[in-house]
Amino acid sequence: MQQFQRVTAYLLFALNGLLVVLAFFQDRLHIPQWLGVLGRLHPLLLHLPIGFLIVTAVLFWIERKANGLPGELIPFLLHATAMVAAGTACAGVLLSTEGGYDPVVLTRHLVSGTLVSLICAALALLAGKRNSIPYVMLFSSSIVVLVAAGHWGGVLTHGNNYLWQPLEDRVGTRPAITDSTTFFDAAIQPIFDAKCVSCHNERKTKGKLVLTRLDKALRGGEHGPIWVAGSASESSLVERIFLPKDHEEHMPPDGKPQLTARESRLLRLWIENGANTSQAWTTIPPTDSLRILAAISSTPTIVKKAYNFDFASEKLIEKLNTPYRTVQPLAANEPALAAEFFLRSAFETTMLEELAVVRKQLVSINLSGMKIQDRDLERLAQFQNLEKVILNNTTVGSEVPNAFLKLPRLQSVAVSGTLATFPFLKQIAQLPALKEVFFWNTRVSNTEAAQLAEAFPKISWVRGYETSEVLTLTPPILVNEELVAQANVPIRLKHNIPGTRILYTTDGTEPDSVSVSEYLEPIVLDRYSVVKIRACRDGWYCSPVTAYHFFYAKHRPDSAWLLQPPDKAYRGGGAPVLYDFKKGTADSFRESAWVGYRHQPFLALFEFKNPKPIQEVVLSVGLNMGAYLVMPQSVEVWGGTDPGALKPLASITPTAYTTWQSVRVEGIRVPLRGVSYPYYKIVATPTPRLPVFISKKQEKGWLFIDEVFFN
Amino acid sequence: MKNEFLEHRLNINRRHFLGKLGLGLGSAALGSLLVPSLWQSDHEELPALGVAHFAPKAKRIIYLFQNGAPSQLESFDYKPLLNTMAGQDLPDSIRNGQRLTGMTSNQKRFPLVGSYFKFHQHGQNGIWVSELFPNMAKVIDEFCVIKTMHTEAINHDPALTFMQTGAQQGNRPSMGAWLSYGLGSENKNLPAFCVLLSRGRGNGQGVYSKLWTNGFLESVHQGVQFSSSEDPILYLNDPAGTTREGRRKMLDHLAQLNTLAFDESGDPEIKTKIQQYEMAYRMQLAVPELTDLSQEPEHIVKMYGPECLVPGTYAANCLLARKLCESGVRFVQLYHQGWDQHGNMVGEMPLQAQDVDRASAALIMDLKQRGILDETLVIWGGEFGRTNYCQGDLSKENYGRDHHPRCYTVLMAGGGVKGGFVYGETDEFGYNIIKDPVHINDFHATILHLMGLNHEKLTYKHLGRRYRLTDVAGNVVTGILA
Repeated sequence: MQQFQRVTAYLLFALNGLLVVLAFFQDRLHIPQWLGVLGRLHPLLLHLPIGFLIVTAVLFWIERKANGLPGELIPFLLHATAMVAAGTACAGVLLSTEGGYDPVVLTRHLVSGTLVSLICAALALLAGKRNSIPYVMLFSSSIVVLVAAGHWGGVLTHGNNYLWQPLEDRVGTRPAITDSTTFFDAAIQPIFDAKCVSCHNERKTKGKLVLTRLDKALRGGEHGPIWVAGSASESSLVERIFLPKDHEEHMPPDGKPQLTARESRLLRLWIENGANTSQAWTTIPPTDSLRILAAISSTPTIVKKAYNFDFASEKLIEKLNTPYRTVQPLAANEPALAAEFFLRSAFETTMLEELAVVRKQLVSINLSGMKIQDRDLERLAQFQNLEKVILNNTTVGSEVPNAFLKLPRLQSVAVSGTLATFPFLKQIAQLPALKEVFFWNTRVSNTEAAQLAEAFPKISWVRGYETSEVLTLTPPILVNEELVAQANVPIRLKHNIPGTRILYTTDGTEPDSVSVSEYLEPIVLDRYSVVKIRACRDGWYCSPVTAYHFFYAKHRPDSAWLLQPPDKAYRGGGAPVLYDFKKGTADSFRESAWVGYRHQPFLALFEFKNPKPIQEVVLSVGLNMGAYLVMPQSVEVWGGTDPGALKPLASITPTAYTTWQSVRVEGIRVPLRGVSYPYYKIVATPTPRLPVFISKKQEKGWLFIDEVFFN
Repeated sequence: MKNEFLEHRLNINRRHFLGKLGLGLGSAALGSLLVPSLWQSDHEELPALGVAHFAPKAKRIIYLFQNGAPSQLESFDYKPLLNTMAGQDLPDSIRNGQRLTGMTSNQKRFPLVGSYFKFHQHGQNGIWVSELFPNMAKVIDEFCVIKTMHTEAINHDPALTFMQTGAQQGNRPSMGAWLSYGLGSENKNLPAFCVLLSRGRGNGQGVYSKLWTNGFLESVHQGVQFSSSEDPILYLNDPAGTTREGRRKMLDHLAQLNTLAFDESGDPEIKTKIQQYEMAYRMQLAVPELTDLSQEPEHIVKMYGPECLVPGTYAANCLLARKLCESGVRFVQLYHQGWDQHGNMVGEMPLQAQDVDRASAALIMDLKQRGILDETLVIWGGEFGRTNYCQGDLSKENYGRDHHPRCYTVLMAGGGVKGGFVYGETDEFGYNIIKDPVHINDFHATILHLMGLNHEKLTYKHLGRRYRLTDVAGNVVTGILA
């Protein structure tokens, strides 16, 4: 042990001597290259003295409090500590000669490091007197100097404030990217920030290169500028990035975060394209590889309008909001307010007066459709900051109150659909800040509008757009919901454009023929009729004709029987549905309103307990050619007093359609000349062969009946 | 004895109190020293709801949704090359592996086909518009034509859901619900989000109420579908014999009962219900005023076309949309069905165009002449585009087009967008985007921006994370902002 301490004592003298020489005269010394390797050991060695010193300090403290430690432990540790401290310090000095560090911080680290080594050596050599007070103080100071040396070393490698940085706001200090940001700031500098500046900043300036700002980056490093505009091959930046990763000159150094492929390609392309540092990124076409590689996204600039008045209190604004009046700030943190009124029947002028409490803040008001007259405009005059007023569909229009015309900031006035006259608008035009007026559908004529535009060219006069085109009217609307007319239910028609003429015929002819009537009052029918209607109006083409088949229902049979059951799939509601006066529709023929026949004829018997004279029998038939529902081949009506011995009364052959017809329900009328029997039998035969335009195979047609009327 | 000790310890006397307080305060102070921002609220402070984040360009939106995907190649994206190369195969270098729907993926050939309909240049900037849209062409200077919308969905339902909710799967809140949530309603007597449906004469695709759902937002933000009958809102009238005073009393008592239920269960939906009853009560006055079309002058009827007086037509919905917008409804969503021309393009496209052309143009001009176009954003478009090659049989007289997600055209007009302006460019084949693509997320971000909302700040916490209309993507398309 004695031996060890003696040897180390000599070594400590030698090493610390060397250290002092190295530390303070390194500029005058030539340090052999191989020693550089020793220098690189500094970051490894430095942990040893820190650990040793702390362990020693703890044991030293324990020894003083309680005996029991081997007496030679502390001196041994002290010698070991002093040895590694001296070695670390020497290596550190050698490392510092590589350069690239902030000189001020480096000097502090150098001095404090050297001091640690010297103090440790002193502690080791004076270990025998370790019970004295000065020794304890010296020991304490060693810890303090160690902390200082460690701190400055940390600053050298990791930059200032490395330790506390995680607690700080991480939001970058770079300004947000806007449309006018240069491509360099938007795409290149962020790469430097992320991957380069940790070693190339103002404090740690490896290779004398600083990349934190454009002007410093342009200055280059110890080998001159790092890029040559337009020539990537001559630019050391590109060269080093694309060197193999294990190459000594490769940047960023092995072990540091590497550039991504996109980033390195972007840097190379940018330099090849001329390394333009002033061009705004938006001026580069989005299809340009540079833009695609950079993938910049901008945040849109929001221009905030400056209002120099105060905020109204939130409570006040809240109080002004009712279901019929909305008062809202234009945006959060904006003092300006906009007011809107709703529901004409709820409006009262006091609701306008109540706004006086925000007279400074109100910049826009919408009174569209409210009960507002010229004299109410006077009330608007108190809102000195008004910029926009909407008065559409109010009754303003003849005289503008003077006070209103003095509104200094009013830019936009809308009086569409009002009684506004030419003189009224000429007065409005005197508003000092006026930019636009909307006056469609007012009492201003075309020539007057032209005069306004000429007299006040700075104002945009929007009059609206009228078409001179002639359009086709839509057909009139049938008000009745049922197509079965009874004696006391007249037919009502209407058209959505008030004042449009409705023309109609009830005899099946087109309503442009001689028999046309104009609809003036509800139409009363007394038989099955095809009512054809159309609408006509000046300045429009008449509407297309629409036809409605109205069934007249006079006598209701007392009972009915189907002598031939309907097709299995279409039995519907059976015989009762034939005289319930409820119509089906021809596109829903599966419903119970219908009975369907195909292979057998329709055969039904009707009974009247009190026979009445019958003028016509009308069979209501479904027409739906897509589903093979067509007119029957023939209809026969039989009658008599004994159901077993009926005689034929009439027979007709309905005309088969030869063209495609729309889906509808149509009547087949069989006239009877006023006979009155208790029993009638109807026989209707489905067509055995469909026309070719419906079915090429000439199959049998279907017969669907929903109602039989006796009139 | 044991209990007394326990009680003694539980009893907090002044000394205990001060001692613990000191410790607590000390720890808090130490914490704040170590982490200065410890007592600040969330790092990301979320803006207040019910008011725009910054001054908006538009206050309201009318979305004229052309459901079924109208062909961009027959409407606003003119590609004469397709006419000269008609019948030749779509080059693989253009298709570039794009997946196709099951409806054409089995086709042996993909013959290109150009528009059957002619194009002409219109407006101050000579924008190409097909002859099928003569009225929209007349007002093309009001429109911003975005030719480079693109989507990931290839079938109607996911594509439609994506356009409306920012996600393909459904159950996320619809755009209108987000706006109602973010900006509140202007007119408290009407729903903030109204939905109007119409059906064209072309091949149709369904729309479902999930498209106007409130998703995870409060149900008060749900879209209200109007009926296409003469009474747009059903059951609004009081039953015969009920007086308005009687109705008021009934609602007051019902509200008391509901408040009791709310105090017991705390279910926010009960509050929503009370609010909705109150709104319905006010709607009884507001809606008749709103839906009364008899006051519209004849030249307005001419502008929109006479169908605007026939309830349930696209024209009638456009007119109603204008009236709703005038009455401060935040978001009016129209859907016009029938744009799915897989075949019979030549037969159906003119009918569809005829349905919407006049009324769409009229709506723009009608808003303009009332001075409210600058505060209203009108959007016109479908859920994806249609292929440049023919689906099914190609003849000189007719052809069809399949779904195409890689590019389609959407039009915007009004509040805050550039008029008479074309944004983005597709290749000569009308297949790929070559300049300024606009993804659906970008589209949504831009719409929110126009409405004064930062799409990254309009969030709702659901299932443990904050959701946005644009979820985790989207950039504002600054190029179209006026």
